Amino acid sequence: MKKFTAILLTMAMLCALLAGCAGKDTTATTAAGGDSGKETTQASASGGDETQGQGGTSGDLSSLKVCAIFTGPRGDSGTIDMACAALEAIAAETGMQITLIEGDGSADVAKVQASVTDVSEDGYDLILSTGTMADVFRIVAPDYPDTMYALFDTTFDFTTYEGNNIYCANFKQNEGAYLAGMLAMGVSKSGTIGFVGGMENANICDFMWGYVEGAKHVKESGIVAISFTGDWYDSAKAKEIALTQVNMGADVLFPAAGPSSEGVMEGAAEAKVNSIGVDIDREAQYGASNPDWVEVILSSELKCVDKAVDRAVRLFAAGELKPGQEALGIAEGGVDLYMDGNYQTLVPDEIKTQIEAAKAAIISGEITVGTALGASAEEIAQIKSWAGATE
Amino acid sequence: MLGVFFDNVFSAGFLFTVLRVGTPILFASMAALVSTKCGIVNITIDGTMLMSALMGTLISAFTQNLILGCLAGLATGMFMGGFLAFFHVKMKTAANLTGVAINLFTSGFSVFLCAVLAGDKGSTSKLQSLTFPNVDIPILRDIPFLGQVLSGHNLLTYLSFAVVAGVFVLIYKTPFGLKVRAVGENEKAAKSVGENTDRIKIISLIIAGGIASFGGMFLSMGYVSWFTRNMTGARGFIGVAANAIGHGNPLLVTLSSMLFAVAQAISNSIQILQLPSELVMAIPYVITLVIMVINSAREEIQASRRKKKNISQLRDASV
Repeated sequence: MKKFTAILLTMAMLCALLAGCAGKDTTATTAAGGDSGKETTQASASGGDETQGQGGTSGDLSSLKVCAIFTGPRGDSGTIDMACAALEAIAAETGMQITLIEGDGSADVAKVQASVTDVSEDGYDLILSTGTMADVFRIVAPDYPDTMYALFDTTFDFTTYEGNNIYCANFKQNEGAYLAGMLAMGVSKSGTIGFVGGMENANICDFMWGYVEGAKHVKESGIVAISFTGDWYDSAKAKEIALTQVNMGADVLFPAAGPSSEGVMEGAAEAKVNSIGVDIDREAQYGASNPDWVEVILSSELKCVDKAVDRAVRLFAAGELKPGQEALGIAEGGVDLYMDGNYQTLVPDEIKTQIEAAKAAIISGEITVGTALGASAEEIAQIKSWAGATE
Repeated sequence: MLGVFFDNVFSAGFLFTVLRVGTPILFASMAALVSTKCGIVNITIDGTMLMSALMGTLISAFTQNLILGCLAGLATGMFMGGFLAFFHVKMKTAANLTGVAINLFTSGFSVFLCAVLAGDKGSTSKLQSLTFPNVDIPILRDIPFLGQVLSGHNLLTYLSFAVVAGVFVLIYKTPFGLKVRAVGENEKAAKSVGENTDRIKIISLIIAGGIASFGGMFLSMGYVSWFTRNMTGARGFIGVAANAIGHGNPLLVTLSSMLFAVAQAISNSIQILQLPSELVMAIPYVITLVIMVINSAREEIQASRRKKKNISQLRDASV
């Protein structure tokens, strides 16, 4: 009997302990990241002076509850950072309630799915994330038809999806990379340019595809050296690969390797060859800390996740966000090539004109850039061998 | 393309690359060597490198003093060695399990520290951190081929080879080294002659941590000039494997470390041949496995021969 009482007491204490934990911060304990998962909630700060959204949207942003949940942490200088920044900007402007949940970068679907389910139970109006969350949303979203789910930077197969509450935006990074490829080959003296990818997934191959097509558009006999680091974080390896490509004759390098892209930027600066930044304006990013990197940056291929998130949230508030896939290319302002700064001083006018023309042709639909999204492995292999061919 | 690849591989530049790629692996393998000599399989080297990479970068950025940054990295490494020693030697936990725990801990904790101290969870590239200088060796640098391969490396690359010599002397030429080997080969026997085996193990692990710390600092303060989360890329583990292949013989361990470096460097340049990158990136690890298997098979054969020989000797003796 004594033993039983002891067990009962222990159980009661444990319950109290767990409840205590949960009471403090319900979602924090279930955040996708486990150890490094972290939650920031920013409640309405503006009080009475609620401003309406820009662009004539009539919805009430301040009463929205939006959650962004990611499988990785912030600090990627890319998709996640941009999405968070866009949400924080709207929250600061309108007092919209946002919750940002970061993950630890592991692809533990079981853990992440539990987090998404928890978040879905919390009655958010809109839950958004990036491509790595697509499969989880596919499973969880149908159970919460009143919540809208938004995915950025990926494609989603809607044919097998049961519900009607997922919006998915992908960026035509191939179009931006096409311009980057033109720029690289146009500036290259050796006729060999380099591409350093991270993991070989569809998005990164899409970058590669556009880059190769753009380069070949300028110079059919030019060579594009293609390498992958197989890692998003090993910047030493990225640098090593960049230097290897330079050894093989490449004189303009373009990374699409997540955080490890910085290794390529440093490698290019060290080997005194040019580089093209990815996702955001890298000249501005490194301006203060690494002036020697900035010197050799020709331009940056921009992937405007921030604009897309901002637009989607405002459309949602106005009740105009339609479920389904949306592709954001150059025409839609989803991707672009940064055309200020070094671009104005380092790039010859003749190439600038070519790029302007190609950009207009892509917008008008005259040029259609091939895409790796939905392409077969053979097609991607073909692009790779074309990249290495001199004719 | 094949021509470009071969031109690249058969050049002085390639050997230069091998030494650069091999430096962190060499440090890691020497740390592993010192640990195994006292009988501990130390898999925390990877985590130790990560922490030292971070602390070296941060302190050098905050103090703008390379020596202080280096000392901070070294101290971090020695602390990590002591950390493992505390749990394994004093608290009697299993070294491999503690190692797994420490590695998981460091991969998260380094991001946490990075976020708190550098304000960025991804990398410290926004900080003005310092790097170890590259050293041009006079006279040597003017020798045609040799100069291109051996001169102009990072200071830590030269240090890594000095460490190999240092470890050799420490293990084989000093009384302390003798004690370390005695503990590693038969702890009870060492204890029976009055050695404080715990103390020797703790000191060895701290030394190993110190050596590993340079491997980490080479990554963030030589190879590149910032810290990225999980930037070690399993180099610590490759070091452990290199040590296992080299059987704790400093020369063989150095050679096997360089073999891994060659494999890494080749996998970097072979990608240009449009081989599937997944396949190419597996090369270093496949080589690790193959060599380990060959190695253990060879040992088995040797052991069985020795056994036979012993038996036949015994038989002869009895006859």
